[in-house]
Amino acid sequence: MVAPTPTKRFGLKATSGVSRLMKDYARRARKAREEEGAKIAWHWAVCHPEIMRAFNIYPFMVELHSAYLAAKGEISQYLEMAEGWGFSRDACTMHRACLGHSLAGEGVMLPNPDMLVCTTSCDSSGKALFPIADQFDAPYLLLDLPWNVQSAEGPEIQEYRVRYYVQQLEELIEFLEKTTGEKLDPARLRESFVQANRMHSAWHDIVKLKANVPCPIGGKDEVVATGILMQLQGDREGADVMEQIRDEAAEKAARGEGVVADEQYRILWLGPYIAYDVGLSDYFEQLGAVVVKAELDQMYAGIYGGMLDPDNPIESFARKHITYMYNGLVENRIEITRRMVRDLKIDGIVYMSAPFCHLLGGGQRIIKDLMSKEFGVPTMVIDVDNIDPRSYNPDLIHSRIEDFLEMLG
Amino acid sequence: MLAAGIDVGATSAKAVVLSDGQIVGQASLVTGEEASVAARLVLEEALKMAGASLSDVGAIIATGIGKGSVDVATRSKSEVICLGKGAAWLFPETRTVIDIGAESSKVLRLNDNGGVDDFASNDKCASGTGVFLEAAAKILEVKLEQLAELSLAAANKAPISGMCAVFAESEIVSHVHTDTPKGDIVAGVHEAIAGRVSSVVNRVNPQASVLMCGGVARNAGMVRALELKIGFDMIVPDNPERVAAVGAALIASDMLARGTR
Amino acid sequence: MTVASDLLGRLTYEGVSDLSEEAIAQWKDRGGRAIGWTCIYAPEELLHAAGILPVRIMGTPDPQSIADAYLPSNMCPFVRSCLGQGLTKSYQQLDGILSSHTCDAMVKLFDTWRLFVGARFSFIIDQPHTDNRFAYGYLYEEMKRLVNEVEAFAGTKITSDALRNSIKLYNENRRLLKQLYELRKADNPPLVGSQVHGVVRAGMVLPKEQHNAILRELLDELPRSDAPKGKGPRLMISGSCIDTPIFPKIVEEAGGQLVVDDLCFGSRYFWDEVAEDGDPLEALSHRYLEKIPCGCIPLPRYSRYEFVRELIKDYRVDGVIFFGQKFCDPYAYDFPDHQPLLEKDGIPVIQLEVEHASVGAGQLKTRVQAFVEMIR
Repeated sequence: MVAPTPTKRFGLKATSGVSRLMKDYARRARKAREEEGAKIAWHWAVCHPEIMRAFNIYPFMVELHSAYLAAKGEISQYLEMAEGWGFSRDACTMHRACLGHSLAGEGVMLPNPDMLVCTTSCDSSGKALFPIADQFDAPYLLLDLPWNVQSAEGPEIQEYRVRYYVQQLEELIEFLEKTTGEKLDPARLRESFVQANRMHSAWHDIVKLKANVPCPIGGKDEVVATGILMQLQGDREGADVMEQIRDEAAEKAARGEGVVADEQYRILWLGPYIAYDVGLSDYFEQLGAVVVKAELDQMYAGIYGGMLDPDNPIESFARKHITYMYNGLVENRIEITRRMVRDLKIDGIVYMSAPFCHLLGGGQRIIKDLMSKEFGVPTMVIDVDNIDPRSYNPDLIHSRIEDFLEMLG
Repeated sequence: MLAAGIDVGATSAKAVVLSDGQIVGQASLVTGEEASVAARLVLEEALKMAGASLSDVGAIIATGIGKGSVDVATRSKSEVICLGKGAAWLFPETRTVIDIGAESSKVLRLNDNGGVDDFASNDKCASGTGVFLEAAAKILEVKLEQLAELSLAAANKAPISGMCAVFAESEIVSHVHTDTPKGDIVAGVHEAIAGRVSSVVNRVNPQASVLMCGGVARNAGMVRALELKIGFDMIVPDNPERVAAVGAALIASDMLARGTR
Repeated sequence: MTVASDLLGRLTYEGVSDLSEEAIAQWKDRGGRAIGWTCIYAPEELLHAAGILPVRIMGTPDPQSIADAYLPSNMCPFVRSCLGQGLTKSYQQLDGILSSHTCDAMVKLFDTWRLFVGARFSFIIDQPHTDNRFAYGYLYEEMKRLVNEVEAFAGTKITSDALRNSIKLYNENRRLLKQLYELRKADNPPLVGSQVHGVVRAGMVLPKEQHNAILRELLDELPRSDAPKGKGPRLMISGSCIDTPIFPKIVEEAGGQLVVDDLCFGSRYFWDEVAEDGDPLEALSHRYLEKIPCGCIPLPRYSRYEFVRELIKDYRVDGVIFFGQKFCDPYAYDFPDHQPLLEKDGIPVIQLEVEHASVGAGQLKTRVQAFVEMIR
């Protein structure tokens, strides 16, 4: 296993609360299952934990756990296992990693699922859960996420598009009712959405704070906090921790303190995170650069909109999913990128071009050309896998980061 | 006081020594030695040519992948910056630099002040780099130095379209088995590399004048294949693999001039 | 030299390309418009009913690198080849692009085509990826949206009658192609797989009326011609975007007979007809939802697999070759799912990974040869 970038503790004390929170969540889930017959649901990105929490269900986001395994340096064996079972080396590595540890039969990271839910947000999402559903003989519901063909500046999303997803969300609720044996409790759904909004709202505040010069929260703290967005939306404790992170970041901002003492470069990180080298942002910081913002969080919580309406839960949820930045024409992604570059005073963009992710890939040239033209902000593209560490060369990546920052001058 | 630049790459080390803004010594060393050792050896060579010794050197800048381990260096500098600086100094009309080394290919775009505006690199795919040429030479049982002549004399290009060097190497073997003339195969290999490199080039909106450097630039057949692919004539400096070392030496020279360390 | 072989001889790769160029030029000379479509989920009938010539956008057998400056080189080689064609102005005569939200690479093609190649008309239809009952209403609305935009672009109304007529014409084309495929059920099929490829490809780029005439002539003449002596095991290719006859040729040169396929450049293009009664737009939504699905449509999960089983039975297939494009996730997931099922029933299967067009033709042939020997 290649040694990743050495990393110090988090920039904020509150971020260490995330690890405790996740472990505690898993403990709560197992206990609830044992004592109350609560159900465990597995899902991918762009899914419905907020809705599931209206039932006695503990949702687990499988990709997040692959990322945890990768961060611990334990993912390669599961990739090899999955490849041994015939899953292609040219397909999405993240899902292949998930298949590895899910089918390994060791209860590696997660309690076994009672149900699986997914959306067709990318090619691989649609199909990668089938073998897992087969293995655990668990009911699986796949929702078809409508493609947003409206550009960000364009007309409103067509009603029929929202309706198509609303119909499926209603079907999801029926599915959850069936698998839990419970009836949907509207009060509980409302509460989940209120908590989700609390978390989302705190995230919006955090993003606004990042506009400060120097930036008070970035790099590793953002990566780790995104974990809560991925799995704990609707959970009260999750919202609590996010608010703690926000509050500490706000205090730092009030004192004029940044992630680095002498902030020289503000970087925007596009594409996935490098799951097995979470400390890479530390290397940037050694050179006076802060990774002010990444974009992956927006698969879970848009930073320009996407809030839920507890009084109109299903429709607002439908709109949240349909309008998330990777769903639809590339113009949506470009528009959000422009706003981030402008609002967060970005000096340079690093586009992590994960070779086997075709949802996040494909925008390299468009974004590079447009951001250079409009803002004079250069983009460096790095071709590194997001979860497979087997051919990672940290020295090379460090070298490229140096090259890029020196070029920013 | 002399200024020196040392570029420690994946499979070789290069050094350039400057005196009053003129190159007085330079050397290249193909070596598997550890970076700090390789650096000392190649610097020694360059100094020998200059008729000088280490104590005559006031500042040393190290660059390349092994720069962190070069203990004789005053400081290290990014490879991309050194390449740009070296290219612009050697040929001030340069606006695009294409560097094809052993294990990676890089393209830079320079502005009118010789600074780097943009760069792109292929660090992953062997099929756009020197190691692929070496592998091909090995399979064909010819020396690297013979590749240019073979390809330039060839009537045809054997198709080698594998994106992956692994695929491509088996294609070369197939061609050998079907008695394709060696020259045609080499021409095909050059074509494949040119294709790979050209897509990196096109990512930075290339402009004339284009300069090619890196060890692979010594191969005139490769130079020609790439020129045809990207639609630009290219300047190829003497000792093309030393351009980054030149840039590093220039930066060392600037340091001396400013009196900084 | 029979009439049939002469006709088939005109439908080689280059031949079809020439015919297509001619057809587009003639269409445009008459003041008509031509729109490129990228995926067989595109409801061509709608374009036809507006007097537009639908032309499938394809790649070329030649390696390209120009598209790699716009799309990562780890993305579908077919899509990059198509983009390469667009960037080198091979599709200049097209007035627009109609794409489908089917797979991830397909939508990237649509985005990059619009931004870097340019199109006066561009539309992407959101193809439902599941078989739930709401998908019908959704696709119907998407089709209506397409009708509105095509009408605005073409400056003409698409009447129900015009649409019904286009559907009838397209159905006829489908029936004729199916009849052609029927001939391959014989012990000694009158034409080989690489020839069939040319015929189907022609259908994707020529006006349907012209193609129907070609098919009728072929169906007339083929029984009269001397069938090539079929030799070797009866094989089937299953996969997606094989836009050149190189692979069928490889199979034939390796000693196998290609008697049927499961490809979007083959049977899946035409196997399902559109209902000719009732509301034509509804009929179209039904057909495009219920057709044999591409691998990128996850549900119904085994629809395509069952289609493959049916073909194996009807065409007496001895072995199946899965052609997987590199970087194609949907088909890559199908392989470990379908192969054990086929092998359990004693059907030999081989998977070949291809990087589009002629890459590694030598080794592919060797592997198919080994497969053929194994089956004999």
